[in-house]
Amino acid sequence: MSNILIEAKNIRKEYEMGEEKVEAIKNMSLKVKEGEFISIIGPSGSGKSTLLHILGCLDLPSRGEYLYKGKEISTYSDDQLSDFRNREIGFVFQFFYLLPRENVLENVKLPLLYRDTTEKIRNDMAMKALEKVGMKKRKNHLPTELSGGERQRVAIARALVGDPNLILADEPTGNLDTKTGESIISIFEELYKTGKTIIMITHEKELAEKAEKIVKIRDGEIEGG
Amino acid sequence: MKRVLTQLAQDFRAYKMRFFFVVFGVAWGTIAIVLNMAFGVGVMVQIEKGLKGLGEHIGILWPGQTSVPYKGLGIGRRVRFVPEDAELLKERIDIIEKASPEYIHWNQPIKYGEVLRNAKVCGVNPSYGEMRSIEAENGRFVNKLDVEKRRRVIFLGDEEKDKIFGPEEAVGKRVLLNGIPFTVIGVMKKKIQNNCYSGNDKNAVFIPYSTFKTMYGWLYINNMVYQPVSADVSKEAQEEISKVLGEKYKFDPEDKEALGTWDVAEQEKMQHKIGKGIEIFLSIVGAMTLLIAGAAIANIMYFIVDERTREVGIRRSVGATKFNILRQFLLESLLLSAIGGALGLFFSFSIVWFCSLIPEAGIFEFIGKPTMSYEIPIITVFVLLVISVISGYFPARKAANLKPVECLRYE
Repeated sequence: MSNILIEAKNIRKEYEMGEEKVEAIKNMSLKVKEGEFISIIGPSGSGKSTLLHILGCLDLPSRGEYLYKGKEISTYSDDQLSDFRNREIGFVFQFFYLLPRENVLENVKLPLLYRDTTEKIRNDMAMKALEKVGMKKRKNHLPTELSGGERQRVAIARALVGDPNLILADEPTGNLDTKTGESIISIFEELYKTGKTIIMITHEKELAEKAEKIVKIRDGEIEGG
Repeated sequence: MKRVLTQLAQDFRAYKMRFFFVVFGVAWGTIAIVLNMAFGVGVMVQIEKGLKGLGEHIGILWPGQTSVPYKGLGIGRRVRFVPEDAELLKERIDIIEKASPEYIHWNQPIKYGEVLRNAKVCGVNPSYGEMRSIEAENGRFVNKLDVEKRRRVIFLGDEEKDKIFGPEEAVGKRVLLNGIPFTVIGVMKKKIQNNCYSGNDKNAVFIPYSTFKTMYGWLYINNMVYQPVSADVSKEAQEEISKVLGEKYKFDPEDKEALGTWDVAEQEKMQHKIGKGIEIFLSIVGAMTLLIAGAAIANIMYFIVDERTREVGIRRSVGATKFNILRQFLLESLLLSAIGGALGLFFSFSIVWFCSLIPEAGIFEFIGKPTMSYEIPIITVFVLLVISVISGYFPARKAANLKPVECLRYE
């Protein structure tokens, strides 16, 4: 199985910061096969996060093509992009981004709220996802009652709950100590074994090396890419 | 729907103070609009009551002097009516339902025991009481037999009764009117009368016009009171009367000085318009207050949207559409408005109910009390809905249009 999942061609992204134009991504081309585990490394400000946002359809490139399963993303309407994020993508962020006022179970269920299904199915799916990350017992806790590692596990459960093809992780261990970080990476490794495609940003070389492939980014371009 | 509600419940817990102010603002605005309208209705009711105190769509006729030559007759001729003219109007004009002559004699001595009073005496027929909304608290008004038999019976205005008898029962007692004994047959029920043409009824006493005529020997009456079948035909009735009386007394029916008329029905229509005007004005003032509350909702909702930018980003990243976000924020503000509106209505109804317990005296006699009408809640809910949809929509749209990436970067 080596179908191409993602094909990004000559992607550019410019921002207007007041008067100035900032080129976050100068020219990047990238291919990701289904079931691959890729880590992206590079110094801060190199355009890693911007690339991840574009791959996750949170942002659109200024120029270039982005094909997902052979379809051009820029032709999608805003609603179609929302649906695409909901079904195809699971995000894991450095700062977890859990809703602070909702408990673990509600947080995990969040993506399913935007799907047409029953409450019972939502609960079952969320419990399954929590089980995968070992957080089933804490389903009624609020995020503030959890440690950083636990919060990230919940965030991963939220990314998994809708059974997406692609997991995008933006420095998932950046806010955790080394030991906890390793346990989080091992979850990603497990997921990789089950056939999920994973793209992970990190700036820790040891963690990056756990992936099948490493992409290095510097100043908005892929090094040697 | 259940999802949306649990979502709302969670947000309410998180933003207690802000939401409290929104609810308070809406409740306050609602109370303002409801009470203003209720006061408007109250004023209106009072105006109508006051007019009814004089008589519903009645007309009053005074004889005068001719000012236009008519059929070879000169101007300045005196016109005078006799008691039989009331009967004549009823016979000749179909649309006149009731008519009564009225003799008026001021400052007539009434004596009861040691008490001596001077009062206005009116000589009338039984229909006068019905036309002028004079009801008997005790006993009865002048009746047909009294008139036929020229009985010496007297009906007292409520204030006059109090002054002569105090708390004592008056009906059945004898009083001396101008030295002649009369039997008290009734006392007037207290009424609100904002209009009068020769004093208030509460200060008058009434006797049969036939008795009056015999006693004082007056040939001519002071005026007549009539009532057409409905307020709609008051104009026609007036014209017919001018014709009938003009024919009998030989004056031009167009001659305004020969026959003076006060058409209460016309005044009723006018006052009705004024009352409506007051009501509308007060409603607008109330609506303005609510509008300010609406601006406050919008302001607070904008603030809440700002505070929750990150949340919007998270929701968008897991698949919420713009519409999902719009709906969430709009429903929240609508629910807040609904709670505020319900509280406001509850308190307004309570206040109106409380006012209804206060006895109708002093200032209330003139401006009335706030009164609910079926229109008030309907108008209020409608205005509330419009304002809350508008004030909730714009902040919600702002939230929906935020770019997901920027929301996630938002600190």
